[in-house]
Amino acid sequence: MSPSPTAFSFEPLFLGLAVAAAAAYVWAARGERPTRLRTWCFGIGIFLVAAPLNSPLETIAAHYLLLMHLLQNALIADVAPLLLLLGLTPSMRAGVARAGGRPFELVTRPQVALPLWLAAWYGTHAAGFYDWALRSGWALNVEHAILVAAGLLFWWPLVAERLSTPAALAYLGIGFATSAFLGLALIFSTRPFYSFYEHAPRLWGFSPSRDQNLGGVLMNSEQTAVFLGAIGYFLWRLLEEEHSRGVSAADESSAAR
Amino acid sequence: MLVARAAWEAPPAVLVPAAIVVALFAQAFVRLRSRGRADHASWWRAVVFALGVATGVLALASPIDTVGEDDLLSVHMVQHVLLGDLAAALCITALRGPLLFFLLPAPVLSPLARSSPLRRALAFVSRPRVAFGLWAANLAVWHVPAIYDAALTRPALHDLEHACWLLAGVLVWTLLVDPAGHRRLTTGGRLALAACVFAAGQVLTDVLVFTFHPLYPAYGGAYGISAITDQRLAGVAMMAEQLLTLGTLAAVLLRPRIRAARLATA
Repeated sequence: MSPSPTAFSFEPLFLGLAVAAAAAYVWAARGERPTRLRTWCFGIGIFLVAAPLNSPLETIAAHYLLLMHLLQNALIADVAPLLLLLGLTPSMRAGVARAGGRPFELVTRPQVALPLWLAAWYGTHAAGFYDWALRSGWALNVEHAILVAAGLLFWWPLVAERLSTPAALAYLGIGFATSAFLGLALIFSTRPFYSFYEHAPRLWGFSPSRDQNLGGVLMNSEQTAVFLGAIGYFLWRLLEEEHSRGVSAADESSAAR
Repeated sequence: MLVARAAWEAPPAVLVPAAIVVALFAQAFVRLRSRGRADHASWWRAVVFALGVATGVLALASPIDTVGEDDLLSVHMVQHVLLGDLAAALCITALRGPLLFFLLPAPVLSPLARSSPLRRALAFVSRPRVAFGLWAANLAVWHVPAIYDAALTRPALHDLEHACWLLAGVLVWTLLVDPAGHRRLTTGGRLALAACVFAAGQVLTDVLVFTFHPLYPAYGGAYGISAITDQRLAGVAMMAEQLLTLGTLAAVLLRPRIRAARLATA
């Protein structure tokens, strides 16, 4: 018997983690006061991790529609980690890097973080893992934790400025191009990938295939918006850097010669 | 049926201009090499130019044209991106530097270069904002379903459509590659223009991929591909081709900057 689609779910693990992260942020803010914008970013990031997992969104995602599950994953894997990291002040980031030590330094190298993020993205959406996670329940928390952690790893080199602006653009371009295949596969599929949703109760008249296609559309739209936004920011920064260095096209020309 | 439609054609309107362009390139290539400047007219440039022309001819004279016109929207999209993007990009890349100025023989080039109205018009359309605006308008206008379907039934309009694709592509790729070394844009500016072109293409891709009903009544699906899958494939073809061409450009532009930044921090 599936719960009502409007019923609130309760995931104490992620609620606890959200409260702990908020408390740590408040404690760290005593050392270096974050700007209002950073505080808002961190607050919305925390909300986007906790709310999708403690609301009817989780109920629908875990019992009815793949579409909502993919929306949830997109929020906790792409948007929330970026906002959380943007909320940290430089000294907070330095503190995290110090606490993480050598292993953290290793996994946040761009050449490591990007493959790890891709492995997490495709691995957690593999049919076997996805169905198992949904059926076991507790493993769904593992899936969500992997996605949040992978998202944090992916965005860290960009937010922590471990990459020059041109390298950041290349990093984002590769990330965007290589992660798009999952959404496209879901859009073009004519049969459901996940047996769990094939046999789940139907909601809002969506067939399993339509549910999956819409999920792919949503995932692709979200990634396009987030990545093109980030690429736009770094392009703007590249132009600003050129401007502040007084580089004109003519200068580049003579330098090239 | 498939064999009948998948036919090669030899339209003079395509082959004659292609032959003229090849002849112009050949004389520029020979003239430059005979002056001892083989460094500006290397064989790889001839290969890239030949590939560009071949891509354009392939788009208009191969089964891509017949199948795209009669059966599949996705193949029609492939035709447009080959013509307006890949062929233009390859030809302009091959012409970088002095080769471009040798392309037209002096008796032709001199009066054109002295023509003030022509120079003013070229200077205007070569402004990045104008060039991008024209490119995006071309993309948008020709994909309005009524215009798209009208072009399929009127050969003259269809030829105009292909000419517009080619010209818009040449305009934008001229700014992106900068074959004449005018340096209207810095590296960042060229990357920003490439991103704008990709973003505009992405809007069309999203419309084609994310719409759940066929937008172009002329295409009802063929060869076992439904109309909606065909439409989505058209969107993916656009995205994939743009990722390939603009991604390659971005890689070429970013590589020296990444290396310089690395050296600066080392």
